[in-house]
Amino acid sequence: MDVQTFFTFLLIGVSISAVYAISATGLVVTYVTSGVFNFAHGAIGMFIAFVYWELRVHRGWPTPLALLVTLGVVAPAIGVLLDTVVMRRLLSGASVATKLVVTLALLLAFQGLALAFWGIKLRALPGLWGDRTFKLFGLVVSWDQTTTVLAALVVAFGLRLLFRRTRLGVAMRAVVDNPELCAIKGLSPKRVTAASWALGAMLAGLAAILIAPGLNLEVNTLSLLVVSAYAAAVVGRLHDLPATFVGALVLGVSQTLLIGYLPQTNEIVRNLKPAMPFLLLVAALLLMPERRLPEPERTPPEPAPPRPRVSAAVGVVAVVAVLALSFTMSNFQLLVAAKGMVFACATLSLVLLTGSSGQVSLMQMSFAGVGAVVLGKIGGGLPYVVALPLAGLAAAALGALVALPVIRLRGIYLALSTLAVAILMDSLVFGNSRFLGGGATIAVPRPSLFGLSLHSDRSIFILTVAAVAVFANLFLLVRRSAFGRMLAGMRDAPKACQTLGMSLTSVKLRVFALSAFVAGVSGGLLGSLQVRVGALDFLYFRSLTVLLVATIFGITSVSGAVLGALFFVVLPEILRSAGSTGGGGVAGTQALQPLIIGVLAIAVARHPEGLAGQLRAWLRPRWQRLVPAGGPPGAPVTGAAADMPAVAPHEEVPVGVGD
Amino acid sequence: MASATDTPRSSLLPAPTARSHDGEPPLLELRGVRAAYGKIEVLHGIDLAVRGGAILAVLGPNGAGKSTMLRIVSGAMRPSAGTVRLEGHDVTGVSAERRARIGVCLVPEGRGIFPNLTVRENILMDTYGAPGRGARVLEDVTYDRFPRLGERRQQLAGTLSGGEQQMLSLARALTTDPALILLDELSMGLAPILVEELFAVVQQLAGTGVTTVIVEQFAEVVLGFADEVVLMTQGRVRLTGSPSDVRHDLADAYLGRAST
Repeated sequence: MDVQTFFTFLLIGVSISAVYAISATGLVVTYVTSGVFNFAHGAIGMFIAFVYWELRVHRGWPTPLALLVTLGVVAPAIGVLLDTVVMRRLLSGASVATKLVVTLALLLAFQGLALAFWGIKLRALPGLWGDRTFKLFGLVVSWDQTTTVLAALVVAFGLRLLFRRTRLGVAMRAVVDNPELCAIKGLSPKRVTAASWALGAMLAGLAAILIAPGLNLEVNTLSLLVVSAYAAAVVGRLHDLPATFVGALVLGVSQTLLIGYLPQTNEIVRNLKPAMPFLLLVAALLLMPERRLPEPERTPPEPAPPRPRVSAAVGVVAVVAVLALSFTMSNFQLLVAAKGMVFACATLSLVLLTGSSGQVSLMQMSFAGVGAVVLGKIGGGLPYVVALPLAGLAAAALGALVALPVIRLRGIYLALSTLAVAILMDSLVFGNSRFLGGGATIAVPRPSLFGLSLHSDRSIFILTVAAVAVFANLFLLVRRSAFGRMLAGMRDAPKACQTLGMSLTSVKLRVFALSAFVAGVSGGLLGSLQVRVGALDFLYFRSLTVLLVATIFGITSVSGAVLGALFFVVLPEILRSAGSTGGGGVAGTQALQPLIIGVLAIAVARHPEGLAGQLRAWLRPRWQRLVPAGGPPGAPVTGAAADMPAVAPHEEVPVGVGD
Repeated sequence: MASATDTPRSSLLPAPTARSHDGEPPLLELRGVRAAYGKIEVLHGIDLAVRGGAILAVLGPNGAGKSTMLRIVSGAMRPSAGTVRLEGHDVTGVSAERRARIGVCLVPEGRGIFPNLTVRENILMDTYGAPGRGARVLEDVTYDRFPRLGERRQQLAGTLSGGEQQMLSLARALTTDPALILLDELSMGLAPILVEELFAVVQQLAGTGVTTVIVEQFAEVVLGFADEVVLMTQGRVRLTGSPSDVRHDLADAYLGRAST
């Protein structure tokens, strides 16, 4: 390739870097003032770009006016609204999982809103200057590229001035340090965070409007394009703006050059392209020393586990009851219910990890995918009872392998690195024809037991229910054990655990492997259920959904996992079948779902213990009224523990006493 | 942001609701104030009145509720029952930031500073509670009284020594012309020589006639210059009186034998 081509690629790289930098800056601004890493940042930008399209193209406003209204009025309004309705409620020490889920839900909500307003049609957004170009040293440079780079420079110097020289900017940094002290000193932390969210939305919108002309104006592409901005923000350790700019520059340029120069024929290289930002994200996460905000974290209260005999009995009764019930169900109902149960297993794997130990993984479905692929490969030759656990073990091995390098990361950094691994696996493993057959799918056998064929939909449903029962008991067993107390200790006070001689590394490795095992088995079950699985079943986005469901319904309890699975898998299927018979209802429910998710996210922001926790709190006094004087042997915790985790740790039911 | 810049301080308050019989209402008055963290009540009905210009020392052992009481006066925490009045105006529902702007100045327990802001930027944040005053004026007054802060103006506050951090925290009381100063455990964790230096500033402030409430565990330091003393244990006011009245009851109170 000649020099001319090199400089053309370099120019493209620099202007893409400028967009990453603008977007990453917005991410950093909101993160430092509110402690919320905003997964919806790209989706907000996407939405604002659509608003710009509406004004500029659809209504034919002149460019400057459309820009001014979009970035000067609509974007700040969205930012302030987000802060008032959602983010502000998160300020008092919400857990990483809660914050992640709230922004994930917002991501879905913004996508849903955009789809509801503008539909799925692809649209082209014209550049700010149309196609106008000029020549510089023989190189064709577009006015848009120039504007983009200039915009990034203006943002860089503008923000530096804002944060160092103005009272509002200094106040934004002060709010991060100590919001209560701000109030005591007479400045309202609410106004400051509102200002920073307004600024964040403006930067997200600016980045999207600048980059959209080069792509199609489409919901998903624009929402997820900012992933590269995440990597840039991590290079700046989520607070350092100059470093963020350097990160963006390195990312944008290297990405463009690699794409330009790497051979296009190799499948791995082709698959690597979309994964590139994530490779760089992983590298940045591992190489950059982490910096945590000085922020106390509050995990939602865990309900005390019932006694082993009670939970085992509940499991057996559930399986028997479901067996009886299954004879009244149609094949369709059986399959939907089984899918719900598989999802409950996957959610339980996250309850085990995040609920018990406070670590957030965004790659549970990748573990599930490994389980399914391994079961597909070995299931033909080995008996099912051997092959399924082996599939789980393969996932567990991967879990330990992933945990090893990222073990020192915590909180949002850990979550981001698991997300990056999940996306790498999407393109390198599940999208690779060497691992999966043609069409990127693999056949997975249905179960059989000692030569007895259990191929019917009913047997697979019963098997999934049994799996939920077994894993729920496993989870409760862990919670009651010394290992469970180590997990809780690590979650609540890692430093204290170290002083007691506990190895955080070993505990983290073990819980990661255990959680991956459960996820792997659930993936194997999904494979058996569907008979054929492919890359789409284990897309990273599904892992985000698992976290979303687990957190909305209760990240610390079995009931949360099961309720969540029923809501997210079974309810949409029922609605869909009702909609298709009733006619016209499908579009309505599809538009409704993101709104429902958005509302649930706000609910989670206020009640981190999730819907299951709410339900328990509502049921408990009524149950105690029904069963007076001590209650049943497995009676749950006393009322106070659920409401006041911080001050009443001694109210936990003594573990193992009397058994 | 500082909309209160040109409004006189007292006009931000709601209309007065009560006046004591002898004319002037107390500058600060608590009536039946109760407070709870979660379900655990820590203040069980506090009644307290401080007249304008007085220095009130609040003494008591750990866990007596002294800091909670100050947080309620500053608005950082809402009482579960009872009222807080400033110059007769009910401010119970008024936010902390508005109280700060009308002249309530809490120097909180621990280090009331922003560790990741420089000394200068910390002082800039004090301007929110001092409508009409520029950062430059506040800086000059602070560096004049605490030259060591002047030498370190570009340094991150979190890297200052404990004593310097406390000076920076206390500077606000000095510079913002407050109507009511609330000092919470100024001496905590500091060397005696620093404590002396800080209390010299407090005495200087008190000499200007500003109403001051001082919470301290080291009773002897404050008994020297307080006008009135309140003794709190277990969320209740046990004794009120002049320093000489209270002095001999102190030991009993700290050991849990105070009469109720």
